[in-house]
Amino acid sequence: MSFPVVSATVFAPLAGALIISCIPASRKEVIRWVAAVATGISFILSIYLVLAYDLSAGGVQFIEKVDWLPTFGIKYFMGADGISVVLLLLTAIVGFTGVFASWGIQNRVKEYFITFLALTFACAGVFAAFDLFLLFVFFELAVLPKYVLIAVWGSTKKEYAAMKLALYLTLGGAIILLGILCLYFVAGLNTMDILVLAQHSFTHQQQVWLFALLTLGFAVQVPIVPLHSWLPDAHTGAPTAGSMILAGVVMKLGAYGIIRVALWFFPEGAVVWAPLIAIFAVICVVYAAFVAMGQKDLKYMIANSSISHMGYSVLGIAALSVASLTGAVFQFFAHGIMAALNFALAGMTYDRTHTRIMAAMGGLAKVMPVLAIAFAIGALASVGLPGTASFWAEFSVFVGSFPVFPLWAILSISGIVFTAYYMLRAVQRVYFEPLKKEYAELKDAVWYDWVVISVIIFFIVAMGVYPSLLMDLIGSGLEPILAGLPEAKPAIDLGWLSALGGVK
Amino acid sequence: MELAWWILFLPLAAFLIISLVTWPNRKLSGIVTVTAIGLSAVCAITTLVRVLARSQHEAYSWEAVWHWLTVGPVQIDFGILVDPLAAIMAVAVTVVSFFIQLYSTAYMKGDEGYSRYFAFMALFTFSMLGIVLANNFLMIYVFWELVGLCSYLLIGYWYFKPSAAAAAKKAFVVTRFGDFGFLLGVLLLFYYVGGFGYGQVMGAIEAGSIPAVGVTVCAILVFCGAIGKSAQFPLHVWLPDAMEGPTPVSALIHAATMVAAGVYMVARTYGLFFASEHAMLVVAYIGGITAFLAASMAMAQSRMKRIIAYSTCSHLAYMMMALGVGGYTAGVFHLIMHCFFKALLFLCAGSVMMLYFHEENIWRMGGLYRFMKLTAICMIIAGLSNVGLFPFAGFFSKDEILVAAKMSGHMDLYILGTLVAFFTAIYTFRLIFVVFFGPRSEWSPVAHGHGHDDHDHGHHELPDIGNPRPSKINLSEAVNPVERARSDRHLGKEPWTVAVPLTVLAFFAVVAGFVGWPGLHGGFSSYIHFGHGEHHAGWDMPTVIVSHLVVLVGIGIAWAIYGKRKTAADPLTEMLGPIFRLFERKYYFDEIYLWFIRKFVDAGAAVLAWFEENIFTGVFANGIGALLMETGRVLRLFQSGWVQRYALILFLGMLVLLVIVLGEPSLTVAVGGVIK
Repeated sequence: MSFPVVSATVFAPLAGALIISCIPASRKEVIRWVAAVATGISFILSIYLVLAYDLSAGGVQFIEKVDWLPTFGIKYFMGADGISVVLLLLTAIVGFTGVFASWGIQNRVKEYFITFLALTFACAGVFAAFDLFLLFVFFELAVLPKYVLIAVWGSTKKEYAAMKLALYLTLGGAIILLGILCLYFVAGLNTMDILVLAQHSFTHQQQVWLFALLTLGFAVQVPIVPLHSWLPDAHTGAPTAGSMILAGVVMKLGAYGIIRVALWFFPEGAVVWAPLIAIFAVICVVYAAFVAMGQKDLKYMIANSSISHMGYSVLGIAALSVASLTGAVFQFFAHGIMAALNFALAGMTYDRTHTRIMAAMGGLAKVMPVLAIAFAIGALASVGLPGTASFWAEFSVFVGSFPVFPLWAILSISGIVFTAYYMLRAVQRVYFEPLKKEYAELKDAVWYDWVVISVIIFFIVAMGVYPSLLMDLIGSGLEPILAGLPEAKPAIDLGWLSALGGVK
Repeated sequence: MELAWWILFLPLAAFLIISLVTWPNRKLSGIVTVTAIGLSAVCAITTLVRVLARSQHEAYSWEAVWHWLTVGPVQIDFGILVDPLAAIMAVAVTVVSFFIQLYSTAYMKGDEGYSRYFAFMALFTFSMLGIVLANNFLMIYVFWELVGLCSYLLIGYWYFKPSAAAAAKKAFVVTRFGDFGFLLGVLLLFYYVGGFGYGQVMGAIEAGSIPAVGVTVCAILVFCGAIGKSAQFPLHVWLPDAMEGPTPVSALIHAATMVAAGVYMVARTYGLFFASEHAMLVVAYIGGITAFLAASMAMAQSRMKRIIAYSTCSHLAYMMMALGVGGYTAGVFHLIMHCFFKALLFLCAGSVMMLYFHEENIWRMGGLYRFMKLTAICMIIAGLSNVGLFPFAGFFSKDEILVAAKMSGHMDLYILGTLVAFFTAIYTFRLIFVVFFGPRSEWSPVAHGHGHDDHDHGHHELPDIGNPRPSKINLSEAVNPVERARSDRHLGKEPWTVAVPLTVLAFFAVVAGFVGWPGLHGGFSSYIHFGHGEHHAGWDMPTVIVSHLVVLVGIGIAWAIYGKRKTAADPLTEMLGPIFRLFERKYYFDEIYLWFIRKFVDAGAAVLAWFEENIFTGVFANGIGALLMETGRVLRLFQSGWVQRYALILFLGMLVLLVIVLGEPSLTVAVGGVIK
């Protein structure tokens, strides 16, 4: 057996956590560097995966299969297809930069990095698992460190936020577990192998209800309004790197689950429920954008804007077309790194000004031009400007969903105006305008801020200029999933506009 | 023709070089941008010459395509298209931009963000060239947004000024509003055509594979983008605020980039508009309305740059009107001519401000002619071109627009256009007479504490004068004659980096129009035309005479009112009364929009944020939590640990069972079975 590169990518952070647990808590610098090296290995390996994945062959590659609980047909089955590769890269980027964003933490450094690395490990595991049970294990493993991160190192209502997150996600997890058990027994194949189960043809009824059940469970994690209430509190309460990984990766777990499990296994169910999901997607986009607009707290604003942006992904999934789904997955990546950047900068700004209320800041660009530029790039990525990865994600979603749900697509696209409004207003309030006196002495980015900013911005711009690197991977990953979907020929009827007249 | 890639990428290279390498060295950064854009201009001119040579007899175009991205069925290319339209526009953009960069090296001297400025200017030029050379709708959209970005960065260049920060955001959001329509148009076109290429779309329209309504809807949606970028009614409100940027930026935005993009886009995708009568009407009338509104607003402004800004708005509207009535050649011709004379107007204004303590309130000037003759002469040339008098560049193109309107049978638009020409004459010469002639204002910069000294410290244009009521400044701020003399002595002379751009652009503003001379072999229209049918009759003498009369009368009125004024107040305020106020307050568009945003958008956001916090989280999420807690509390009662209570419950349960069992015979059997 060759080198298990996928497992190594996933387990590197866990190994780091184990090593750190053996280091005395007083050796803070060593602990930080171990964390950096562990996530760095994961980062390098995930880049290797992206480059080494054979597009012409497609399918799941780098397979590692070991029997685990043979009685139930449960295996340790890891691998990576086009989608996994992209999302592993995302996790690695956020994990790696998250370590540097946590460099300034002084309180319980050892426990902090163990928790953070465990969370990174669990998230990566979800994307690499091709055994349903294993996937679920990783999925649930991720909940605990999140709880601890927020409850111990968080701020503002941290116990409340942590408990709410744990309750919501456990509830979602329970629904998912129910769904997984149902589909396991209904299929009756005595296997949890995702590739095998995906080939099984469930009856129409089974598809409809199992799809609904699983999607409901995963929707808590996306989150889809009205199941989102845990998110703004959790993202705001979490420490900087916690927010980065929550917004950057954890939100994607749910949406990934919908595509990997619900959509792949039950395409007919997806077709039935898609129109309803599309409506919820629009609510996500528009409602959350307005809520974000009404926030005074920078982190709450970004948290709500994350919900709004994930709405585009949900719309892309609901439209069930090749372009829209590709866009949806690309949005996982694009939004993931962009939200990580936004939260990182919110954290860096907070560390300096000790306030998150936008109106209380102002003019910071004068004293911290580097952070100002990075903040502006994050905001512009959020706005979906061409040249950033988000543009291609949103555009693909739009181009794929517009013919399918014209009205919902138009309403969602209007989000680009609202996003521009509140994001640029935030830039204006925080970084532009005259500098307030009390901030005149603030310091600009230090070296570990530079690492965070430059790595993420590199990927935002690189994927904005050369998106096909990841787009092609995603496309290949979606191929088998889309194969089960019926051909749809959407039609836009503009007859009611005929009063506008015709061709000369 | 591969040279076209160089036109596009040289400015980008300048941006990258400055932002990655030379940013610590200000002087070098300036040189990089000026050189790159200069070379780009050389490439553009060479390309134009080659294109003209080849398109002598037949329609010529050259395309190069790179595959960019495939998303499922969606094929996205990065391609450039060089044809006479693109080539001539590329020349206008690069040449004008080059002179503006050269000028900027003087204007921005000593500014702390010097390198940043030149990096952004290079990026701006690159983005605009992307629009010019794009060969498909998606690519034009991409660069369209990048132009929006650059305008945001440059209008907000002095980000520490609240007004500049607000103006930058306003420009971006307002144009984004138009882009929303543009994007929908692109998506709808893709739905019908299955591709983004201009060729594909035009082919589909000719083949009739897009339903008639579809063409109209697509055209109008795409036009929304042009309304935003070209500052047409009702999205024109960002333009005057955009004057918060440094003056060379205003010149670039107004002459060669940004606002020109909208008109250029309509011309570039003219086939789409031409296929729909209704879309053409929309374009024509939006143009007509904007031309009138903007010209009237220009008459009542007191800040030099705002007057010119509204003038731009009005001229762009002329071009839209021309395109809308079928005057393709006229619209494009005016676009090119306008590039030169509008850039000149702005650079002259900047020169005045540079030499005159970065003041831009015209009522604080007066009699400046003798201090800055070169600037004054250039400004007068630009003004004459702006009003469209023979033989200046503006004449040739504006005249064609009026002829086109008249010939197309839109007499209403023709009359409107002539009226706008009258207004143009008044506001242009109001500006010139007030600034350069008449008595010097008593206002002195030295007395106001921002004299020559802060000239070099990166705080240009900092004093924020709002939109002052001119009459209040009058004479009340009298200064002592010694200080006054000192301030006059401070008035410097234009450095060569200013003088050269002014002179060259003035030269263009005088002679460029002659390429449209009907007697010339073929003239402009033989290169730039749509289809074959466009009739080009040459000059229509009645139109020429009428427009000249109107313009001369306008200048005469301006002279009568402003030429011999004794005070630093605007006599027009008294003459027009409330109408003047309406013009001055810009028809209250800003107030209405702000009211709408406050009442609906911001209030909606506040309501939803409240809803989220109190109803969603408060009632639903916490409510469910509370419900669980309550259930738990009730259930806990059953585990109190009191034996008596357990016994009581046990007894009650037995009692209930007994009643049921005795009352229901079939249950008796069942219970009996269980007991057994």
